[in-house]
Amino acid sequence: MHISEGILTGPVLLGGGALTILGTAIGLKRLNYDRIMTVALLASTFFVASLVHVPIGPVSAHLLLGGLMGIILGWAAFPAILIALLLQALFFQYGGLLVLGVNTFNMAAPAVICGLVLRPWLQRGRKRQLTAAFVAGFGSLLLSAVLTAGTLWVSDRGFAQAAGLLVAGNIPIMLIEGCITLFIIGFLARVQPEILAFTIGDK
Amino acid sequence: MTPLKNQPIMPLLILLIIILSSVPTPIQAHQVQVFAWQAGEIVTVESKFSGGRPLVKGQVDVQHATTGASLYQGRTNDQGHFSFSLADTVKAEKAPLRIIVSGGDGHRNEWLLQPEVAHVSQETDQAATTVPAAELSGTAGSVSNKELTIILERLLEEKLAPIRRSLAQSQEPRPKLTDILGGIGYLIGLAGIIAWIKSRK
Repeated sequence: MHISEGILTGPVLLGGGALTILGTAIGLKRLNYDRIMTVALLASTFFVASLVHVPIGPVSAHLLLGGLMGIILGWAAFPAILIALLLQALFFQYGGLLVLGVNTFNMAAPAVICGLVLRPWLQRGRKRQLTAAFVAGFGSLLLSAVLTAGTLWVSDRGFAQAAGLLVAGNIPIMLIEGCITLFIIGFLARVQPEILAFTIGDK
Repeated sequence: MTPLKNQPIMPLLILLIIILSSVPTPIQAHQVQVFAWQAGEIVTVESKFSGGRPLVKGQVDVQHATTGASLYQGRTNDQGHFSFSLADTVKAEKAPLRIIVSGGDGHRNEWLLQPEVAHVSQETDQAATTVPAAELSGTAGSVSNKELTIILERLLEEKLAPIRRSLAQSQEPRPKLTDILGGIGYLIGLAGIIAWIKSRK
């Protein structure tokens, strides 16, 4: 999901950067600073999750946990993912500094969308709660793959076929991520149900 | 102020630890890994994904590192390999080569190779081309010093190829545990600083 340096064209890089700045600004504005530790821990989780590779399918796939971040953090997922990606670029050479904006948008926007859309479901009984968690995990990764594929497609030449492969190849990990998000949200709902309650009022 | 109790810190901490402990060791970088080595005149490029899976049909572009001119192009085979033999002009110039491999899914990496031209072979190159092959392999005992050097060099390169390969492979940067822990510490420390600044207001 991390696009490497030197693949995208200038306008795409600038567009991604602008959208990320916008998203991060909204995220910082809406961030409840009393919950800063939660944000940091989820950013750390995201930072590490990319190292867990799932050797299924033709592409190199790893966990993202975007859906989980979107549900718990809402718009704050933007700054959290931005910093985590920056550290990944610096420490692991994932992606790069110039493509940071595009990569952040491709991973954070689906997280925020899934989080905000699915949050109301968390309050409507155990069954819907778990369904929403699964859909968030599956859907945010699917959207990320579609966005990444779209970015490659607008940027260039010959990537169209590979872009399709990127989406198809990530389907197994979408299922896995859906299940992981389901378990984590299920666990959080049991251990600390209040966190899922106040995430709704909290944008 | 939201009480700390209402924050999912402990469960998230547990989650983080679970994920951290499931990180495979040695940790693979999530990127296309490219490395190239030279054996005699043949340069072999090997490219793979994290986890060691070869990058099949990856697009390889070999450029002159200073001018950026494309010198060789091709696709990796089923083993993720691509080889080309150095042209005489490249050898003569001793120009570093930038080898770029891109997989279709947005992953791309490059490797800088400094073609090595052994000092002896430069002198003997001409000898090798002018001396007919039959004469080279000629009668036993009549092998000249130059010819012997060429033969030895070729043998040595053959033997050295695996070593060159593993040497090139070991130069590939990989995330270390210190990097991971450093990143987590950085994030939590940053949150601590923000919390401290906010609490002073």
